[in-house]
Amino acid sequence: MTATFWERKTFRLATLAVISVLVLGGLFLILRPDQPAAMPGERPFELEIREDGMNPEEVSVREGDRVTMSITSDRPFELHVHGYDLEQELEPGETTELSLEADLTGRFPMEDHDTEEELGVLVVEPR
Amino acid sequence: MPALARRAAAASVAVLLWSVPALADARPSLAHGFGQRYDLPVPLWLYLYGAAGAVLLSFVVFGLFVGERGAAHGYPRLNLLRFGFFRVTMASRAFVSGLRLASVALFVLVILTGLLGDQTPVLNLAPTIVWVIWWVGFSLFVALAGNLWAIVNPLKVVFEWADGLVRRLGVDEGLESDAPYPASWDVWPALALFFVFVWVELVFPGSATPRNIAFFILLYCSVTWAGMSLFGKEAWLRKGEAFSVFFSILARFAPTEVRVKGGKACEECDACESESEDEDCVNCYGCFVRATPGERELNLRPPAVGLLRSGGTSGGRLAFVVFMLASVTYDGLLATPLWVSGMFYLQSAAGSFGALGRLFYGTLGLVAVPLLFFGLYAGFVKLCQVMGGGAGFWGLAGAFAYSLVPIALAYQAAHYYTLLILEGQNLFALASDPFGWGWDLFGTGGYEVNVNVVGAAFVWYSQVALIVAGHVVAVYLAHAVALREAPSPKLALRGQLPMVALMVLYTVTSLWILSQPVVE
Repeated sequence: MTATFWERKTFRLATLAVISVLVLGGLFLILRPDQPAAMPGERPFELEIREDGMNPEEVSVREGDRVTMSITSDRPFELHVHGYDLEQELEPGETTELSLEADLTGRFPMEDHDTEEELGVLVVEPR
Repeated sequence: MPALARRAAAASVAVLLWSVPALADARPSLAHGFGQRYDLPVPLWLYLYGAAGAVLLSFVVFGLFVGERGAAHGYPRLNLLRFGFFRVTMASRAFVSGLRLASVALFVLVILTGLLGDQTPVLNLAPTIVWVIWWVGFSLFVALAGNLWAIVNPLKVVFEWADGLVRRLGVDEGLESDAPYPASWDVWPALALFFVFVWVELVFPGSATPRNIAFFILLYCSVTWAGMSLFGKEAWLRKGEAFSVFFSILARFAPTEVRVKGGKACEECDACESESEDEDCVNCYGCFVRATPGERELNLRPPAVGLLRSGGTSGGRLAFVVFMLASVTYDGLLATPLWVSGMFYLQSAAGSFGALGRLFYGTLGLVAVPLLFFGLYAGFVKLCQVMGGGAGFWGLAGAFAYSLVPIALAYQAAHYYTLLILEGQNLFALASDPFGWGWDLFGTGGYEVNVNVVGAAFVWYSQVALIVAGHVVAVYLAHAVALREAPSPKLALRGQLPMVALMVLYTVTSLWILSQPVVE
């Protein structure tokens, strides 16, 4: 009795697995966006750091891009980019360049290293 | 006669009182560097895909099992103790004693590093062990492998050692008093303590500070040992020890169980998964230890079947499960932009009150979200009752609660596994330098975390896959519960619809949280 019950159950579970794979596979093909063909490239950004944070607030690139940030600040401080663990001294009135190879995907806060205040965020999407 | 027990309880309370003033010294830690997460939010299309997949698969499960009569009471089991290999390893005294000793050693080390070590969270062993390895890693281990906590629980082991020592010194009654545990307390003490634990995790700003961790552990030790002295060790482990209750719920998902053949060993035991007294006693470690070797089984079983056994679902246990489900969601919700801006508006409207205000609003959320969750759950259970009939409201509420556990578990795994992989690496450096004093015991003191282990695309797909899989298991469990509880299969089919709707809601909420950027 128990055996037949579980044999029937095994059959149903196998059917369930097959249907699930078909349904999910079909749905995936329908919903998946076309992959952008853009090649990895040079991505320049001009960033302005003021009292209320960084402008623009988000630096968004794709994996493999080379990011060059030209940063101006209203105060002297050390900028820290998480994940990539970059540190850069900034002086008011000067434009400082900070470049990085975006080989790490994720959402990385950029903060004032002294106050640990989050100023903006570096977003690296997978290609 | 229970004079010694009372004195042991008093000593525990003394430990408690001693650690309270020390806690007042708690300063908010700089969370910087500890528990920092770099996960990208799941993209919108994948979120929609997961949600649509969950709904569609609900109907697949539904359609496949229509008309099935009566849920199985048995399930395939394989007794590992039949194999000599497992008898001489996992079931041997030496192996178990070794595990227990290692557990207590680590426990003592965590308290010492917390009290004496460097107070920077990433440089100290305590925060990584407690929050990453134990809370995230060990929880997943219990759910995916089996209830190791029942064996290695250091609070239990230390109490047993102390009790044995006292008996050897000639005090026959040991440390345990024979006062009965008040039946009306149910598992409410465990829930209250678990609430405090989750509050420390999610609301208390100094939760990553090593010294605070050590103090909270000592505080919890004193409460637990007082409880064990006053009401007996087993009673307190079943009803008052928050983590024993918590892990026993997670272990219902696990593909292993311990079982005592025949219900005799298991009188008055309401912690085990059995549904009636004449059944075998499942996953009750107190009974397992007392049983004769011939009665014992250590079984492999299909995962999640333990959640079908609703044995001992009292009001308190129902509240515990609902709080568990809600607190997992609250954890993720706290870091979503919606919650953060909502809190910002609430604080600008009602006043922010500085640091104390943050504590207040955090606590408010930790109370309100589970209450809201319970309200929703009760509403959907009521619908199930109206549509399907069967057991009374509370019977149904108790029966369906465990079927939601796989969704919470899947979310917890999806939400935290990257943290486990990344922050877990800190263990290499910490093993060489547990106190943060610059030691290099094993030559790994300089190990730096490799952030580039899993790519964002892999994380997205695995997160959505986990959530959808958890949902399917939950819908299947709800179906089996409905068949068991409803008077006829036809009514069961109608009666489970509202529960499936609630599951879709819960699953989509989990997915939505994962699709939001983490703002902390």
